[in-house]
Amino acid sequence: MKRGIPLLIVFFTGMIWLTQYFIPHYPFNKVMNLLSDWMKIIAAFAMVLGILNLLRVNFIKISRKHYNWQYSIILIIALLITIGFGCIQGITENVDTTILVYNSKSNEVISSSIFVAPAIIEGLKNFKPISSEDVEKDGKKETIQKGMMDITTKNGKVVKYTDSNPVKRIIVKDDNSVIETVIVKTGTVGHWIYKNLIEHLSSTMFSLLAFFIASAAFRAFRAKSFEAMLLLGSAFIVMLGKVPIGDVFGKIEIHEKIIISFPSIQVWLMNYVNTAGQRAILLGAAIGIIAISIKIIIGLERTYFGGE
Amino acid sequence: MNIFIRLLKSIDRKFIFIITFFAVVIPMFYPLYLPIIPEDSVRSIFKKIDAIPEGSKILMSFDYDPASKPECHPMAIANLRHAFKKNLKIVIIQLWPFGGAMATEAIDELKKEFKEIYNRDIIYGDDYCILGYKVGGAILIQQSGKDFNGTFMEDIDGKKASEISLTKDVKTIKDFELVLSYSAGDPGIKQWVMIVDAQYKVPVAGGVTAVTAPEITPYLNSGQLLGLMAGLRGAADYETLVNKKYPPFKKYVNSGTSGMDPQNIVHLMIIIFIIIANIIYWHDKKMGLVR
Repeated sequence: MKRGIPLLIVFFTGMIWLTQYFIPHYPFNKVMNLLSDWMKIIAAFAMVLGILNLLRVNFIKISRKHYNWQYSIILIIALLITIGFGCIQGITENVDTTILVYNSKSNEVISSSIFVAPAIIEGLKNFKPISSEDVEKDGKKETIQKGMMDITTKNGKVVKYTDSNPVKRIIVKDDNSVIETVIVKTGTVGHWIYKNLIEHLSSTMFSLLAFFIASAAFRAFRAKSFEAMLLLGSAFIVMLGKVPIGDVFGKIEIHEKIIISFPSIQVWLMNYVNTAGQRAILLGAAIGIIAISIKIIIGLERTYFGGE
Repeated sequence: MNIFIRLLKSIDRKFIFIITFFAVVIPMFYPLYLPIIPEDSVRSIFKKIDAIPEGSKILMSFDYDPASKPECHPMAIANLRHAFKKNLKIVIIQLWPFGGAMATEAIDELKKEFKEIYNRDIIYGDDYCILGYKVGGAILIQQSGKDFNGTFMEDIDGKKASEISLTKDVKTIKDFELVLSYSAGDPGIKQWVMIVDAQYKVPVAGGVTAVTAPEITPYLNSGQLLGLMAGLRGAADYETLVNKKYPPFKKYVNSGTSGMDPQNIVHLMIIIFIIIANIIYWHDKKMGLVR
């Protein structure tokens, strides 16, 4: 029973998935759509599971003080910061942030930092509107303006909001008050992390490949046998044929359609020799996948259960 | 001879790193300006985009991240330049989490170019839109074949795809004239070919990193893939074709073309290093030092 039910689930799911390719009509197409939705949900859960596993592995590494355990602390902190800010602010480039809510009639600040409020109020005196529209919200008339302004901070730094990054000013008037809300776009931490850390670190890792490939080629690429010589020869031709310098070495025209040059031999190698090898691998892998899938569906292959 | 071999043997890793550094940097300042002759696999993408009627929709899938940006980004920019110039409507999706950021960056660059050259604004929602990331890979492609807006429901700002003028009429993947995938791995172009070309008969083309190209070439030869840009060379080929037809783009950053000079020299340098290593090996073998 413990294994029977999972085996039956696998059998029916596999058969439905297989059948819908041959009978793409009701009810198989509907069931297939449902299963596809389930797969997306499972894939999302797999991501959560991955994060939890990463945390578990690194917590164990820290608690047992394994080699380089200090890096695990950095990893966990970075992971939590990225996830935390991503969940709070999202990962978009900018978010709307309210920097001031102010009653201009009574000159009273309703919400803002006491350090920045005077500077914003001062800046509002030079507000240059670009656009203005009146909307009705909750029975009250709101004027929404977008415009340019400068805010001079206490230490004399001028923050400029131009037409490409305008300030949004919402004005709500009634008999007793004029409430002004000032909204600006501020960058998100998630985007900052991406733009200033992930992008540069990833590019650096990728760039280092050039150095390692050059060094590895020098230390490991030896023509020790006939096969190794063939590999070496092909590598030379493809490397020269793939870059414009390959054309500099000239060409031999045997026939109108038969031109021998590094680029032409490279194309031949890629289109014929490489394709033949790749297709053999692909076909082999595909046949292997079919065989293993059938074994899983009919319950002969049970290693996915885990255990021995 | 022995002194020469001893000299070659003294070459260590640090020396190789220094030479590699200069082989990359010097050509950036002193370009060789070697002519670039585009490969047929790249020409076929150019011809296809050129033949698509103005106003038609194409789908671009940004399936790469910052690590493979140096190779995939220039080809995406070159395709976008051509497509915007042709007034095609571009729907962008992402099977990799950073794909949307890559697309935003590419389009921001192009907005400036089109404003300066043609005084034209590239408008979000009218000329292009970027739909949000979802996990699922091949399953998403499979579902988009039957219900596109049901699969990619929101854009990167959370706006519903059914409310964006560009995507509201899109029912299935068949509503696109062409699917382009810029792919650095899995999920990527392979899945697009296997599902969209094979099952829905929508032409698929795109670009891959140089290291993935041999794996994808069989699909090109079988005709399942309309065209392929392989690595930085693929980007340089496409830039050459675009610049030939629209010369004003020449003055802007063409990363593929400018990247060809360092690649020329580094490839030559690696070949020379391999030859040196084999001279040492054959000498040692002759002397009985190695088997």
